[in-house]
Amino acid sequence: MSKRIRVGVVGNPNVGKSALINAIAGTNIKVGNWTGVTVEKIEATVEYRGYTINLIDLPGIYSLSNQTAEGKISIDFLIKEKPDVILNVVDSGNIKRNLYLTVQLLDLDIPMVLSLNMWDEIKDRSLEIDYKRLSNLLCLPTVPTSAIKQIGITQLLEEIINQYEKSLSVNLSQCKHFEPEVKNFLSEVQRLVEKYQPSLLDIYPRRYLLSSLLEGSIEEELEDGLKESISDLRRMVEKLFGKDVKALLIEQRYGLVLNLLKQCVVQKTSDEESVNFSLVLDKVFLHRYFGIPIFFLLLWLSFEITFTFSTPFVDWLDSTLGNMSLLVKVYLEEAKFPLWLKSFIVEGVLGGVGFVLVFIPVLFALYIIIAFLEGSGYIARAAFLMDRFMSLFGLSGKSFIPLLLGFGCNVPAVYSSRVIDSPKEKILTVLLIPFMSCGARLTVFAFFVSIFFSSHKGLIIFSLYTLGILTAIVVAVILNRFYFHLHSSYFILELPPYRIPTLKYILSISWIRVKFFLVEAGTLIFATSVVIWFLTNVPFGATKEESILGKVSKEVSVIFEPIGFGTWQATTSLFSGFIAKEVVISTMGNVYISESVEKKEESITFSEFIRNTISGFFESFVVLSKSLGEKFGFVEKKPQEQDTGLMEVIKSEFTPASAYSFLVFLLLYTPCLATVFAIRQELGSIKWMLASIGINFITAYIASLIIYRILS
Amino acid sequence: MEKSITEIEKGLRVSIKRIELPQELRDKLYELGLIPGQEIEILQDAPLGGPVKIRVGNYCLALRKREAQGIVVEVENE
Ligand SMILES: Nc1nc2c(ncn2[C@@H]2O[C@H](COP(=O)(O)OP(=O)(O)OP(=O)(O)O)[C@@H](O)[C@H]2O)c(=O)[nH]1
Ligand SMILES: [Mg+2]
Repeated sequence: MSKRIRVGVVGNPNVGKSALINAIAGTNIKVGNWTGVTVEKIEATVEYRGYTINLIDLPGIYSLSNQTAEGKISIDFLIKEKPDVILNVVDSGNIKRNLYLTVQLLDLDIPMVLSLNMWDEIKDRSLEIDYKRLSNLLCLPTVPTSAIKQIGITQLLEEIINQYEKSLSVNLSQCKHFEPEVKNFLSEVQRLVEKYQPSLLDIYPRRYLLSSLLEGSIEEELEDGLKESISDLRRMVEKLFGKDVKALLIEQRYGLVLNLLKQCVVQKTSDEESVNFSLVLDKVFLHRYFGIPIFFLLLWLSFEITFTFSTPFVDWLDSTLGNMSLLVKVYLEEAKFPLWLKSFIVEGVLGGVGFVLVFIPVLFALYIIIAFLEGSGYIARAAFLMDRFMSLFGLSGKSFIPLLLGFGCNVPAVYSSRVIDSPKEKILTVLLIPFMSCGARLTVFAFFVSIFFSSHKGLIIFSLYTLGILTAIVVAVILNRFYFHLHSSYFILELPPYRIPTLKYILSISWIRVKFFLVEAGTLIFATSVVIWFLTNVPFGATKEESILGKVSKEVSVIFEPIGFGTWQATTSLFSGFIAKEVVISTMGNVYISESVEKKEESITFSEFIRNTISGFFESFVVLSKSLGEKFGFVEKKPQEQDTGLMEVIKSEFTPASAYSFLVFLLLYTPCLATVFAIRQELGSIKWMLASIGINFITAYIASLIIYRILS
Repeated sequence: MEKSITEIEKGLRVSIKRIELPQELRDKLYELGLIPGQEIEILQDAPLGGPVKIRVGNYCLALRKREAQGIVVEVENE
């Protein structure tokens, strides 16, 4: 049996804690260049020298008195669950502020290892850190590391194990102590605790307890006597030093840090030059007047890129999957499957999964762009630029981050709202997230747009995204005016240096998301296909319209009459869309096809299939370069559109106006069950979950109504 | 002479004297290293009362004008 070491990975936000764990344990924890990427505990495990080392990734904190929701998770873990070893990750380029936390961590009396991360970056910054000296001064093993360049990884593991083994034999307490000028008062606090409430000493590490009590930052129920005596003490300190205890302690901790740094850090050139690259970029991206136009230009470019790059591959996948279902059909015929089973497999399952698979290139392109935003540091700039605007409805730039992430997927966006400081602001932000059109919705848009609006694909889709944003603004204004009454409190956000995300980073983070989508879409589509197939076939022998589902949907469909798609098929598709948007098209395949489509008598052999697939893939690149050429006007664009199965049916069932109205509804109503659950969990209330569903349905209906009336 | 950081020219390095903000906010800024004696400078500001970008030692921070106004700094008399 190997022995287990639990290592809490602690540090300021955005210092590379998650990246370092990924480098050590080969995991894929999410990394991004802004503060607040990790918002919950995440565990990774690595075996080393006969030990099982559990690395626990924690949200970044600036101090132990941090009161944000995600910061509490880290602090609670350190105090209540007491890891065996703390791995304190420090940004070497910003060592002063980082060591402030280190000084506080020393008070916890947990064996600790210091990792001077981003060591690769300070090389260019002409900052010199004598880490051996620092290690001696702090009595902490100190390892220069780089998560990106994989430096110092094994050494970290060695030191973690050393510290752990040492702590088993000696009763370790940190050798360097923070000794504030008020230490006499702290001893007095200790005497009071022993007198009134000695149980506190069992719960909290001693020195942490004493200073927290004196500052007044412990939330535990305190005995009245203790509370009073401590406030007397606090008043005495304040009178003696002329400032309050908290300020005094913070200043003294910083004093200690400065003292340490004086002995082991040399800044060779001035600060100004050290962050040069980022300063210049910010002059452009945060420009007083051009910053915001540039932001919108970037958003628009993202769309163009997403579509231009993915279209040829979508077409390739489309024909490949068409061929594949043909191939399967041939096999099924040979194997003499009953007709109903054949139709279920080919139309229900294969068709359904296929319709979604086709749009994987679109998603991949979208995720790549989002990954670039996340990795480069631009996301914090977007928050900066939008702060003024967000403050109009009581939000702050920080709320903008979850909203932006919502364009990828609403579910993680809901969780990322944890970084918002004020609870009310957080609720309002979460209610707005569903209006941000996610990747799954994009697949449905892309499908419809290729049928009805093929000459203005990008424009139509852009209009939908914009509509989502405008609706969010209207909803925010109304909710704030009549319910929240928020006056945005404050906005404090670190602007990290720009970093160039590595290709590996971008591809791996996008691939993880695509994979997640595939697995989820695959399972959901299969499940709903089965359910819908049965519901549309019971009672047996009846037409789909007379089936149970047909009848129920028909009843409900009346309400969609005024907005242009009062058919039972459209209604059923919307039902399934409540589960997840990626199943909408497959459901349409289930309910529309196989009633109206005559089977084309085609067949294909396996070797033909393989040949077509491979040559088609390489052709996509040719098409891509051509379409890039078209963009710049080198090549004439020629229309080519070949409708197949479902596309034909949809074209006859919808008009462009009702199709657009359908898309608007799809855009605005509840995104998916997963988001609903995430909201419930993050806001901890069923009331807000229901409110969110309600708000989405109402706005979806109103918006579709208005738009359909205008268009038709 | 004492001035609020927002009255200081962009790009001029000054040293913090004290912070005049509600205690919760002040403590937050303190812990972020904006303690008396720390050198800071305004790098950028947004129009229409948007936030400002300031440099604190080796890193950059975005703050609203309103909070930035509470940062009192020492400037040499001309
Ligand atoms: N150059 C360099 N960049 C690094 C290093 N470690 C991390 N980064 C980058 O720093 C950024 C932050 O990394 P994360 O691992 O997300 O930071 P974190 O500490 O987990 O941040 P939070 O979860 O927000 O607290 C990312 O852009 C990383 O690519 C390093 O050693 N060198
Ligand atoms: Mg992290």
